[in-house]
Amino acid sequence: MRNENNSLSAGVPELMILRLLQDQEMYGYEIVQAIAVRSGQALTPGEGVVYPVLHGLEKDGALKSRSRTVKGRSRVYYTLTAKGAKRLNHLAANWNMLNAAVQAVMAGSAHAI
Amino acid sequence: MPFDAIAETLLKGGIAPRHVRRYVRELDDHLDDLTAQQRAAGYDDADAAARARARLGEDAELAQAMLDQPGMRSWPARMPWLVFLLLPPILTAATGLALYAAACFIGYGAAMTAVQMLAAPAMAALLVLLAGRQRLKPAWPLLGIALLQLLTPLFAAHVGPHQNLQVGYGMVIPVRWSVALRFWPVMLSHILTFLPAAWLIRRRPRTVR
Repeated sequence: MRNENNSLSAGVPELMILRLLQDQEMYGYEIVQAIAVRSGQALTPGEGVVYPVLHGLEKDGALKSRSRTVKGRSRVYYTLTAKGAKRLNHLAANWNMLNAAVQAVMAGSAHAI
Repeated sequence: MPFDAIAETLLKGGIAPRHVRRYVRELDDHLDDLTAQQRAAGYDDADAAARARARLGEDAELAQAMLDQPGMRSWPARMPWLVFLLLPPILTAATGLALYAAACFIGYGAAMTAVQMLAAPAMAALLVLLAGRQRLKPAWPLLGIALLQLLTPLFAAHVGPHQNLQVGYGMVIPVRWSVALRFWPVMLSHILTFLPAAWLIRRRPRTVR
């Protein structure tokens, strides 16, 4: 989840979070666990850094939050908004394009070797 | 509290207190979940707590992630000149206008004297509160309070002998005790307005860390 601030990884944490929240509302801990499980533990960031990303997305209107008390504990659940769904589509399209470009380069390298 | 250092870093970095409170609350909840997970995995309390804290991330990383987010900074941090230098005159003018309107419609009474007396001290307290919450340098609220002291209106309105409304606005310079006593609400207002500043000056070594 660490933002390396370069064009290749920019937007990846947002993309993963938006994609997960497309299916269901979740709170921060659930989101981090879901990322770890779905990535086969390949992505195990400093888990707390997910919250600034969530807050930023909420401020931009891509997410909305609500507090719920579950088993005596208050949790902040996040859901995707219509604006968030658009942003997800945009980020996913960019990611697919980037992924295809990298695959093409890798295929070319393999042929060259 | 485990995240006090992060909270201080964020407040000093200009992040709005409400965002800081929420971040810390969510980190706290997350840490509880991680600790419970580690205990369930068989670690004793001390190991579980240490492993959970490591998984959450280092203080510097957690603080930087929030500082990097745009739009999380408060108005007092982003534009202190607006909050501490422009807001006091605007609020003072608004209070004066409100008192004038009230005098026109319901007449000038004791309640309005109280409002006139307490408006500036309330604003001064607000400036100190805003600066303290955001860990700003005391110079900003002190400047704002100095402005308030200059602008605190001596507002007077009463119905004259011919049913005409007389309104006055000015400043009292108490060259004699008799003047100070005659305008005691204004004098008291000045003293009360100074109190938050005095508290801030006395507290300064701890405020600016």
